[in-house]
Amino acid sequence: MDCFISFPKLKCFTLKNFLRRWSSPDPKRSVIIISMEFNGKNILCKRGEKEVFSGLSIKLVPGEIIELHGPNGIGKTSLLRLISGISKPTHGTFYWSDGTVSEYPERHFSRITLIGSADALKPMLTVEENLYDWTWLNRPRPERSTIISALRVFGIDALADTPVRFLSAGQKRRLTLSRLLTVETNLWLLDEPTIALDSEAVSLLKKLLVKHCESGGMAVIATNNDMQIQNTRKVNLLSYARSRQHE
Amino acid sequence: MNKLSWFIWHELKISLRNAGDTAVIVMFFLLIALLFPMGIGSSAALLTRIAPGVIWVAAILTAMLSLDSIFASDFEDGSLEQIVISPTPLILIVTAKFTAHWLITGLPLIFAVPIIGLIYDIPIKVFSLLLISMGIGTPILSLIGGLGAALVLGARRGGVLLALIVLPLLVPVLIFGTAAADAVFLGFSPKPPLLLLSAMLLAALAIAPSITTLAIRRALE
Repeated sequence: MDCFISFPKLKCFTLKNFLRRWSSPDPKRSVIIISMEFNGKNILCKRGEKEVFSGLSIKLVPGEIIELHGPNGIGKTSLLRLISGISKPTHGTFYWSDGTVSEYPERHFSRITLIGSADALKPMLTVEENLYDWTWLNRPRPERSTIISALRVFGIDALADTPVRFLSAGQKRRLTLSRLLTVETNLWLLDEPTIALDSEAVSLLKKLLVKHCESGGMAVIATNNDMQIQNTRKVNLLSYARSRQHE
Repeated sequence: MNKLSWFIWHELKISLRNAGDTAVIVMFFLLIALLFPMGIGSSAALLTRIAPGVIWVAAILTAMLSLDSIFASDFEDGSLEQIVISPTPLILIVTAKFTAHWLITGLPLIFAVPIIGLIYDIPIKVFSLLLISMGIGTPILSLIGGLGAALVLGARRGGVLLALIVLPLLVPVLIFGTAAADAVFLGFSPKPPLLLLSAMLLAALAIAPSITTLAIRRALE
């Protein structure tokens, strides 16, 4: 098995130890080695009473990118939310090589980064504070240099002290995408990542995706634009839905 | 700094940048308390007698004003999704949010009570008991109110629904909070209502965060 999980040695149980461990998860608890398959089997997704898709199976091997295409409302974002663990499938299971998502949700969350359609930014906080706080939510206390270098990659380090409410839509998107660089995860889930981005930022994102996959990472991208990344598997959810209807 | 204290600081930081919001809450609290003398007359004895009840009603109505802000903005801007799928336990974040909410809205109310105390000419013994009951009772407003706010996340007319859910649950807090100060007027010991209020706080601390996490996960599905 490629995943290595180290558990801390058992210490004498005291209230102080319990509270410390509860409030500060051990950073060594889940050491990620990026080389692991992710699967979804026989997934049924319902929105209210309406069935969005059913019987969907998905397999991601290290280094693979899947682009989800299809018209609005076909279920691209729903599938990303299911994979991320925000929503639970009505039927079916998502699992890694070493266990199902429902059994080990925290381990799953430590392996994914979701860039959703909502930017999840706080307008009153600065660019640096937003990225710093998000990173600390997901990992032990980050170094400031990590934050600044991630902002530099996306060309917004000069705006580090600027409140987010003064940023343009494109700059906000760059800030959101810079999260990909501060926390290392196996699986990137990107929902329309190129919206509001200029061509320079789009090509930068493509390079990052290629680099991520070269190092054994995986990505699922919901988009209506062809990302034009080599060896990407394209899945059209509309075609899938039609083929299911014919069965 | 551990994650709990960091997240409390994170919430406080956002609130401090919107300092006007806290000022509005305190002003609203004072305004409600000042409306009563205008409605029922300026008899000093009557005002002194009803002061504990007025202060508690004002505190509960003021809490209702701020409850919507606990999770609603995070829900709308997508932050709540990021919180739910982070490796940090959701119950820890919820506890931090409740604590921050009390620090931002509950604590300033306690500091504003002396102003109302002067207007209503509250005796010092009643005043001190009122402060103790507010100290125990206002965290319950944040805990029960936060739970209600999580239950109505994403619902239409969430504000009205929130009031309908939370206000009946806060009636015991109003009764025991007022009873502790009233006991002095009636010549009883204030200990039983204060102990009951403390028991309610402990029960809310035990129950509210875990049910709130379930409500948040349900709202995001």
